[in-house]
Amino acid sequence: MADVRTLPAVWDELVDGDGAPRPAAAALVDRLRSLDIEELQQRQSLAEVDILALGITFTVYHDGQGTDRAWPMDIVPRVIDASEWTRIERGLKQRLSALNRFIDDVYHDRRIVADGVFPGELLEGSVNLRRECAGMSPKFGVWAHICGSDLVRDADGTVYVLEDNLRVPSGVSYLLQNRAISKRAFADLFEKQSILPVDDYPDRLRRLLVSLASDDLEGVRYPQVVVLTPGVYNSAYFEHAFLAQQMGVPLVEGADLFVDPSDRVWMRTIDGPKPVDVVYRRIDDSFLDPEVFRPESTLGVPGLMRAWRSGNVAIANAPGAGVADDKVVYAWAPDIIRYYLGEEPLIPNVPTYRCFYEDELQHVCAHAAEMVLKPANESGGYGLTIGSAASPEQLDTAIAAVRADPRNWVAQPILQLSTAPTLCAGELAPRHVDLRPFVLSGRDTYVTTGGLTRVALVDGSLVVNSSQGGGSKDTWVIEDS
Amino acid sequence: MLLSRVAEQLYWAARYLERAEGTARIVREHSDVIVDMPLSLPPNWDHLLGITGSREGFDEHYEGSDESSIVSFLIADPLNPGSVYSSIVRARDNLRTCRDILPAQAWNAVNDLYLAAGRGAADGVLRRHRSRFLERVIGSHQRLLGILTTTMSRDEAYTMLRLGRHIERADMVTRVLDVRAGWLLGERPERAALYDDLQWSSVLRSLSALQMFNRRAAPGSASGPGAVEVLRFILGETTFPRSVAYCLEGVQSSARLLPLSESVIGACHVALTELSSSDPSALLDAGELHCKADRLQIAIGSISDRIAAAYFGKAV
Repeated sequence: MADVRTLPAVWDELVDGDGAPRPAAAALVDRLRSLDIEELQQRQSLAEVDILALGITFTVYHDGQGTDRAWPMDIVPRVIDASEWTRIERGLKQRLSALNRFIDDVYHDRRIVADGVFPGELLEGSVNLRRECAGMSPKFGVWAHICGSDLVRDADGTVYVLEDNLRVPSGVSYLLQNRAISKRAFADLFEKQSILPVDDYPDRLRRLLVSLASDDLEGVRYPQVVVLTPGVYNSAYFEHAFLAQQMGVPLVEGADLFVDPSDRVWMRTIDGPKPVDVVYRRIDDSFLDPEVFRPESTLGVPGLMRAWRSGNVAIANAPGAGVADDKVVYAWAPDIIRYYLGEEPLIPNVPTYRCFYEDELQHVCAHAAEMVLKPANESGGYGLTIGSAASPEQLDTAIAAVRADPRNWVAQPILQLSTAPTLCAGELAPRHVDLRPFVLSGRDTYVTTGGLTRVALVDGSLVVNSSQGGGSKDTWVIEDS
Repeated sequence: MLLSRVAEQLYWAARYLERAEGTARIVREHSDVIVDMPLSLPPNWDHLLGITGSREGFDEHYEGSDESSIVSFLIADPLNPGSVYSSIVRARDNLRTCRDILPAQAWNAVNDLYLAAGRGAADGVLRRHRSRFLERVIGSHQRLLGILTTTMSRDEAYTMLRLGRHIERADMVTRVLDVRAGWLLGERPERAALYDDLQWSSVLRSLSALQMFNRRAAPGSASGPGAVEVLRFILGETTFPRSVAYCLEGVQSSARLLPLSESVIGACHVALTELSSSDPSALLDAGELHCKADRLQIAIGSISDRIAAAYFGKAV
């Protein structure tokens, strides 16, 4: 019999402190407890065979060498009650609506700075601010069309937003694939309860992208959407190909596109050039257009920014959207929500110290051992220091780095990330998890049902990134039956 | 709509895969017929290097030309870009970048083929595992073709795959004829001629053509497969999917479905004219046959060049 182990004083997603299943997880926990651990391991092995056969991979870079690895997925799902999910969904819609208004304001009048809510000097120092975007007005006023926000749950059960990924967030393909795998592993449970489907994401994404095309095309021809990838060596290439395939649009590389002297974008086909209207780019701003950004970039398309500025092509996410994807701007998100929407945030931020302010900097330096120190512009868990896990020397180095460039650092208390039972070394062991839902913003806003649950497979670890040894789980949002 | 870059990837992926299957068929048949030859006759493993055009590459990496070195070089060696293993790896690399247009199941089959090649190639060098490994490669590729045939729209991407497959197969068939039939028609030890029936059958078998040949060409014949009939069948039998004529017509009919294909169709016409320009009975001499094979290979190469110029060019 497989029992579910928990950690003291840590919230577990499936069972409460006494080991009783949380209501939405009752059927799952019963089933887990009715199975031998060997049976579970067998289902896990079958899932791994499926993952290999389906070619679900991601690429890890080490010493300049890229290696394709099978996507690590734990078959035991994480469960969320539908009523709780509804609240989270509303909170994410609220958040993205405010962040998009913030970005639009940054590139226009900066009312939020004039009104003294957001310090203007922080914008001047932001590496993700693109001066080339000033004055642009993308359709619907939306800049960050696709967002992946990371949510975590603390020991008392509160869900926080940990960060917003507004540049080129990845992971949604794995969310969809995990569901395909878990349907096989726990087929019986899908028959007995209402697990909300996730499969409509590619269709929603396609409709969003099509809606971004210039209104001039209406009645002329169908807009041509493409997915722009940096190529097969990118760690998320699997996802780029998957999404293009699911949407039925071409997957292009920079060299497949060109911009003509009248600022129109074309792709090179066997039948000559064909027009392109919407680019879902999975390339960072700085590589997008060597005419404007990094001149040595061969991944991008010379002239793409010209075409975008002329209104001949839509780019998602819009160049410059990353200005709000910054761990420093994050610290102001609650103020941003209040300022633009006049509402209280429905999902709280993790309390965040802004080293920009002298008093908060001093507090951080004095309490660094109890905090996570985060550089403003790294992703994938790189560059952060977890105070409690660092050696004194590492901590000193980190504090020195913060003092040298306070604007680019924030610090947060170390949360007791919630756990979910995970099949490890012959038992169902508690492992820390987070959740990345994806939000699509255009004419209206759509949130994936649940999200990608990431799990730190190493005992005690809080790092869930797949590039650093993290795994994943399917996420079941369950409606009361 | 098909991107030029993707067209190129698909075309070459199909060629690599066809090459892997073709090489697997040839090695399998050769391993089989060798066993039937008397020990006093030298086994001619180096024919395989001639057929696959890899003698130079082989000499660079190996000394001597024993069975296990040659078979290893042809099926398992990553240093040989044309080995079964390398061809599958290269095809998969290409198709990885075309996943958005292949049916999802097709990519699974490619992956399967890749995993099979990775695991089995080294073992496949051993005679007792060899045919199982080669069967697996051939079978996996045919499964892939089955998936493409039954689930992929007959769009430009499909046509590119078909072009690559037929070009490669036509090329492979001319090489088999050049080397194996050329040897049978050339000067050999006298006692070797006792086994000619067996050898001509083997030529057919290495192209998986024996059964269809027997049904079509020789039902009333009292003797074994004669050289003229074999050449006629393999070069010109338009109903047999592994004949040169069938493959070239396949290339031509595929090209007609593509835009801007005049030059490709023209090159096909040249190759087909070359094919029908001499009667097989005029080729019963190793030198004649070799020249014919050479001219056909040049004509096939020129079709491939036209395809590249028409569709893969980076220029706008």
